[in-house]
Amino acid sequence: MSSVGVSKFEDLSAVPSNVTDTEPVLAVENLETIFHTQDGKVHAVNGVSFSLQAGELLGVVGESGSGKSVTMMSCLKLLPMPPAEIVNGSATFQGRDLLELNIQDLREVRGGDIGFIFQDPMTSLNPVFTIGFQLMEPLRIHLGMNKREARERAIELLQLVGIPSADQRLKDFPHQFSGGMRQRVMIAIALACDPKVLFADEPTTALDVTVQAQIIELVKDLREKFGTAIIWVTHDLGVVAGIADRVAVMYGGQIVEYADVESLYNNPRHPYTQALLETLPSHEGGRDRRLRSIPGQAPSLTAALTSCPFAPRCTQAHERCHAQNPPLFEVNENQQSRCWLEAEDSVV
Amino acid sequence: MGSYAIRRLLFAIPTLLVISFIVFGILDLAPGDPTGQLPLTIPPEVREQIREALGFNQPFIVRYGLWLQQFLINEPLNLLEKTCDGTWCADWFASSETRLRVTSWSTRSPVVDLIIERTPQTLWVVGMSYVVGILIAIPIGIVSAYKQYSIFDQVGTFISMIGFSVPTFFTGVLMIVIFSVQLGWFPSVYDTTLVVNDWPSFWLQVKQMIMPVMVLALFNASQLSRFMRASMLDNLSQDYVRTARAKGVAEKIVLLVHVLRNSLIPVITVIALSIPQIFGGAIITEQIFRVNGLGALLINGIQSADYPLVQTLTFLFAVLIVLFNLIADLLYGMLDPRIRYD
Ligand SMILES: Nc1ncnc2c1ncn2[C@@H]1O[C@H](COP(=O)(O)OP(=O)(O)OP(=O)(O)O)[C@@H](O)[C@H]1O
Ligand SMILES: [Mg+2]
Repeated sequence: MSSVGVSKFEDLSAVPSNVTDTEPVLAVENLETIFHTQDGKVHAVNGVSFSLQAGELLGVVGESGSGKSVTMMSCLKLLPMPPAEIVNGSATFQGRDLLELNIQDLREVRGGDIGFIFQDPMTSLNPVFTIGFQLMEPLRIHLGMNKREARERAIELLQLVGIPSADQRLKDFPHQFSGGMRQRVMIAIALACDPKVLFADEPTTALDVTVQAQIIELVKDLREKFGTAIIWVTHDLGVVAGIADRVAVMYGGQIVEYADVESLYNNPRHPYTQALLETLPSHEGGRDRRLRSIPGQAPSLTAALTSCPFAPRCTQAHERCHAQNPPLFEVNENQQSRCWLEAEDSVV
Repeated sequence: MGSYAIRRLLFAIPTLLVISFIVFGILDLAPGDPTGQLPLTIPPEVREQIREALGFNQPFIVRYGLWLQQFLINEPLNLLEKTCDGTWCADWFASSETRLRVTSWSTRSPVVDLIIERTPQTLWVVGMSYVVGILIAIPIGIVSAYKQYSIFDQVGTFISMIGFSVPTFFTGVLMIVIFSVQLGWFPSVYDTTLVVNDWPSFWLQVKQMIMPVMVLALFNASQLSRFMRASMLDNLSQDYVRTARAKGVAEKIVLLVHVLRNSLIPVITVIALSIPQIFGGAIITEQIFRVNGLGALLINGIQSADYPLVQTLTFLFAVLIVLFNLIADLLYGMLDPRIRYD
C-alpha cells in the first residue's frame, strides 16, 4: 500500500503460517470494502487477508465498528451495493474467486458450500413464512430435494440444533420462537446443506449465557463431526479462547494481530490486543472485577489509512505511528502483528 | 377470529346509530328548503302545504324516529318479502302496502330504489378504475423500489407526482378535449341507457368507459404506487432479505416471494380501507363525464335539499366505512401471522 518494502509483508500475511501446508478451503486476500455515503466514503475494510483450513476455527474479535461483519459479508457479496463497493481483493474458495463469480454461480455457493449465521436472530428470519418453509428453502435449492425429503431433513436439522418436538415446530412462525430458538433455527439453516465453510457473525451475542454455552457446544460438535471450517466473529475473548484455533484481532478495518490461540493469550504483541485482554474481568484477582474499557474513540474511517488507526489511543505510540500505517510483521511463525514496535531492526 | 368479527359487528351497531343521529342533526342544522327549487310563482301557502305534506314541519326527533323505522325496519322487511315471494314463507312479511318507505322528496320515489338503480354505473366506472389503478400501481411500485433512483423510478416519481397533484376535473376535461373533441375516438358523455347484449354494444360500452376509468385510475395509481414503493423499500432493507440471499435464493424469488409478501400487508389494508370511496362515487369525475352514478345522485340530493336521500346515502357510506374497517383488520390478521385476534 504505502511503499514497496511494506507490500512484501502484505503478501506474507496471506500465507497461513502455523497449520499444515495443505490447500486452505478459503483464502481471503487484501480485501478492501468502502461505503459511499452522503458524507463521503467510509473505509470499512482496509486490506484484510486470512485463510482457513478444513475443520479450522478462526476467531475474529474486535470492538464494534472494526469491520468484522462487513469483512464476512464482503466475501459472499451480501452487502447492499451501492452503497457498498468491494474495491480490491479476492476470496478464493475451491480454486475460484468468489468476488469474480457471476451471480448464478455465487448463488450456488451461498447457502450450499458456505453457510452464514447473522448477527441478529430477531430480525434475520422472514416474519410471514413458517420456520419449515425457511429451513426447507436451501435444501430444495441446493440439494434438489422434493417437499417430503426436505421436510424430513428439516426435522433432523432442528433436532440437531436442539429444538424439541421439531416436526410440530416446522409450521410455527418466527415470532413463536424465543431469541435463542431463532438463533438455533438460523444455525440449522446455515448448516442445512453441510457447508464446507461456516461464517458465524456473533452467533451468541444476543443470547443469554446458558444458551450461549449450549450453542458453543453445538458448534464444537459439528466441527468434529463434519469437519466444517468456521469463522466465528465475536466481542468475547473468553469464548474465543475456548474454541478457536487461531484468532484475528481487528481494528479500524484491518487485522492488527493474527496468531494461534496460545500465542495470542500468552504473548499478545499488538498494544490493542494487550489492551483488549486487560479489559477482560480477571478471575484470579477476586476483588477487582470491574469492567474496564480502552480509553478513547474508535477511528472514523472516513479516509484511507495513512497512519496507525490505533495510535491516538495507544500508550506506546511514537512518531512513526502517526505518520505511516504499519504492515503486518511476522513476529514468529505463529504470530503476526501490525505494529511499528515490531519494526525495530527489521524494516527500513 | 370469528368471535372477534362478531364482537366487532355488535360494537358497530351503537356506533352507527350515533353516526346516523349526528348526520341527521347536521343536515337539520344546515340551511335549505325542499321547496327552494320550485318555481317562484308558487305562493307561500302552497309551499307551506308542501312542507307539511313532506313532514318537514314535524319536530326533529319525530322525523329522526320515522327515518330510523322506515330505513332500518321497513326496508329490510320489504327485502325479506321480495326474497320470500312465492315460497312457503310468502305471507310472513307480505304487507308492504302499509309499510312506509324512505322517500326522496324531489323525485317522490323510494330512496332505496334510486340507490339500487344508480349503483351499477358507479361500480362499473369507479370500481373498474380502482381495479385498473391497482393493477398498474403494484408492478410499478415493485420495480421502482427494486431499481430505486433508476430512470424508471425517476419517471415513475414524476408521473405519479403529476397524477396525484393535478385534479381529476382538469385531467378529465383535458382528455375530453384531446380524445373526444380533437381525435373523436371516445364519446364525451357516458350513456347510462346503453344495453350491452352483443359485441358492438360491448365495444361501445368499453369506449365510453375508457376515459373516466383512466382519469380515476391514474389518480388512484399515483397514490398507491408510491405507497407500494415505500412499503417495498421498507422491506428490502430488512435483515431477512439478506438471509434469503445468503441461502442462495434467486433474486426473483427474493423479490416476488420474500419481500412482496411482506410489502403487500399494509398495501392490501389500504386498498380495503379505500373501497367505501368507490361507492361514494367519484363525484367530480361522474359530473364531468355525465355518469349518473351514486356521486351524481348525492350532488342532486344536496342541491334540492332532499334530506331523506342525503341522510340515507350518507348513512350507507358510514356503514360501508365501518364494515371495511373491520374487513381491513381481519385481512391484516390473516396476512400477518404475528397478529392474532381472540
Ligand atoms: N450500510 C452501511 N453504510 C455505511 N457504513 C456502514 C454500513 N454498514 C457498515 N458500515 C460501517 O462499516 C464499519 C464496520 O462495520 P461492521 O458492521 O463491520 O462492524 P462490526 O465489527 O461488525 O461491529 P459490531 O461488533 O458492532 O457488529 C463501521 O464503521 C460502520 O459504520
Ligand atoms: Mg457486526
